[in-house]
Amino acid sequence: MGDFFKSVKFKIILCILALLVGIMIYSVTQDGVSIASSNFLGSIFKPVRKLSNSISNKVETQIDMYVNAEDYYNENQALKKQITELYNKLSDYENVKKEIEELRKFVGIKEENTQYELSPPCSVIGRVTNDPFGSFIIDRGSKDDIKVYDPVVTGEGIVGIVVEVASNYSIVRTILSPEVSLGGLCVESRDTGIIEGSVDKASNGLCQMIYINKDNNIQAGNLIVTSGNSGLFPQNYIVGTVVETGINENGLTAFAVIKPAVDINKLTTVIVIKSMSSDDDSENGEINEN
Amino acid sequence: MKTKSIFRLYAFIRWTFYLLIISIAFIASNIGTSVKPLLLIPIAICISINEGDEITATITGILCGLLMDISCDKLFGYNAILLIACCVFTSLLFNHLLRPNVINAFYVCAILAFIHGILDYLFYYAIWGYENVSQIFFKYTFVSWIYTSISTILVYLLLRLIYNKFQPKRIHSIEEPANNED
Repeated sequence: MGDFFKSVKFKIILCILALLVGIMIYSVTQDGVSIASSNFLGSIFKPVRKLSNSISNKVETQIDMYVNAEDYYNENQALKKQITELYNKLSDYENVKKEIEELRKFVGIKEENTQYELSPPCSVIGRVTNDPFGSFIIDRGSKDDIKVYDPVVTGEGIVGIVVEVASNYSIVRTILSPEVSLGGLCVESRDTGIIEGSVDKASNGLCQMIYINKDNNIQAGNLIVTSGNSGLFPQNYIVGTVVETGINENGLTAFAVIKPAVDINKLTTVIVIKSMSSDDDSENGEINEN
Repeated sequence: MKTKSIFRLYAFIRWTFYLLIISIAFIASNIGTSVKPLLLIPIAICISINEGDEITATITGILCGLLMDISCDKLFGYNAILLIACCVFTSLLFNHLLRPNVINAFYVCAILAFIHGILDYLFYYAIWGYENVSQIFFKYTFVSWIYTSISTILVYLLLRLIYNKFQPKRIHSIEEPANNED
């Protein structure tokens, strides 16, 4: 034992310790900035440290998983329940949002056309099977005073006409059908014509305005509205925009292909115009009284 | 007496399933804007094949036909008349000439659905003189006929399964004549 304290080894160890104490004191004076040696060593051992740290983390996680498995399971179940509740809330929120949007459009139509008597918003409850012209069924009928030939609209534009009424549902024929004709007017050029559906255009969701004067000024992109000549549809209601124009095969009249403002195949809610003049009711009232 | 009540119970269960399938087909026919098979045609025909009786076939034809009139927005009674004719014809055919199997059901249903499609196209589109009316035939009538014909296989197998499950087994026996001595 005594020999060790006298040996060269002990002296070397003491020197090293002194050196380390010196380094320690030096580093204290550096005010937090790492000294060169520490920096060097740190850089060398960084990857090793990283690897060991990740291994230890993994091991720690595994152990933690086994030890606290029950807690995690309970927490997981609670979170799943919470997620389900949140999804339900989100679904409700989306439905309410959609409903509000529809009602906002409805209020818009009502404000713009105070003379019209409108039905409450009608939901599209079904599509007529294999109908090439997109006819559909709505959830309101004669109980809600809806009659045959009442025009059907949305906030965006004309949709079609009621062709069949039951007590609590109605069938709507769209403007894509050749059976529906209405007077049309080009807003920009003031040219008029008859808007009706056609077999070849209906498959692309388009309709056409026919019997237009050959010397018309209608151009692609022009807006087409209802002229109101038939008395069946409201006046100045948007039908759609012109996609293409041309001259008919007979060479006497022109036609314009129209893209309806309403996407017929994606309709979910529509409004039926029950009466286009508020005076109708008062007139009827007077007749009844007499 | 007991056998009769068992027959009635089985018939009740069978018809409950038939009505359920008819209802599902009716609801499905009003969903979406794409071309769909007219499922009520194979259903009516396959029930007629299974049940055999002409009166049953008539009732099935009326029910499915009227539902088709509602779902296809056709003149009320139009499809009912066509389907009564189809169902009674099928019933007679399978009672006297054909064996009830999936291949025969497929052929009969495909032919009748094609005739139905042609009449539908003729009365509702062709005679009105619309321009390019042939497009309707190729894009809707023909496609729907293909789907209807293919769906017949599944419909027949399903309805046959129901029929076999809920049909009391008949015990066939040969009785010896009373006067054996002769």
